[in-house]
Amino acid sequence: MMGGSVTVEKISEDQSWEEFDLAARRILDLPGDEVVRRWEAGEFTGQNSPELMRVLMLRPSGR
Amino acid sequence: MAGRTPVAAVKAFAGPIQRALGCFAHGKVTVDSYDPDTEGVLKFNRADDIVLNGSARVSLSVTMRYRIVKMRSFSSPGKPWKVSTTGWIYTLKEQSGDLIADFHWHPAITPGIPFPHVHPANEVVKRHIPTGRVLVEDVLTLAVECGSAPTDGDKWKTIRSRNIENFAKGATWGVKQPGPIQKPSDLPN
Repeated sequence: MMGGSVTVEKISEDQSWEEFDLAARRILDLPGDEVVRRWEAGEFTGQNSPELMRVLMLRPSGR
Repeated sequence: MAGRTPVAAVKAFAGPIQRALGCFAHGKVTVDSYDPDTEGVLKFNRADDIVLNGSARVSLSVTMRYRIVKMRSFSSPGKPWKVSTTGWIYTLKEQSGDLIADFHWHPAITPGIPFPHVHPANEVVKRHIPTGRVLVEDVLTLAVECGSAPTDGDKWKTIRSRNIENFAKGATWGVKQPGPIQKPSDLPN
């Protein structure tokens, strides 16, 4: 798909995870798997900061 | 935006976003799922803060989540697949990095805050100020107010109005603009 100067691409689940992991490290200073572990353990309860939301929104489904 | 297949539906979903962003920036919109059973993530340039065209050097980050659904009844014959948006984050920042506005909707992550909301600039205490549905075109319009400039103003106006009009045809909520307010004397008895 082409249009203007922006393209659209399908990325793999692994690529999506890599980008989530990079964002987690950059924004929260945590690896992606640690963000997932803490989130699923309820360790972020009450911490719904915009930065945390920005990372969690990037988490690929099923990972 | 309907499609004959799940892939076509995702392309119909991403295409207008691609064209709108293409009026202001270079880069890549990515999607990570064509599977109706898997919620997907759409990002612009890995959801980084991307500087938009214009001397103000305003930046924008875009993340959306979506789900591919098969419609029971559909207005476009032969196109039973549709993409529904299930969340978004649009973050607009000044050149300095200061926040202009942070538009969020992430009901699956924060069930206690299921509505679309905005985090405004200079927020001392975190609040979730409700908004209606926010499209990427709305955020780009705000970016223009903040000093961004489309590379071709006429093209942007055309794409913006076409995208919103087409989106409204398939959207199930939140895109209808209120009409003129009727005076009591105009209302039927």
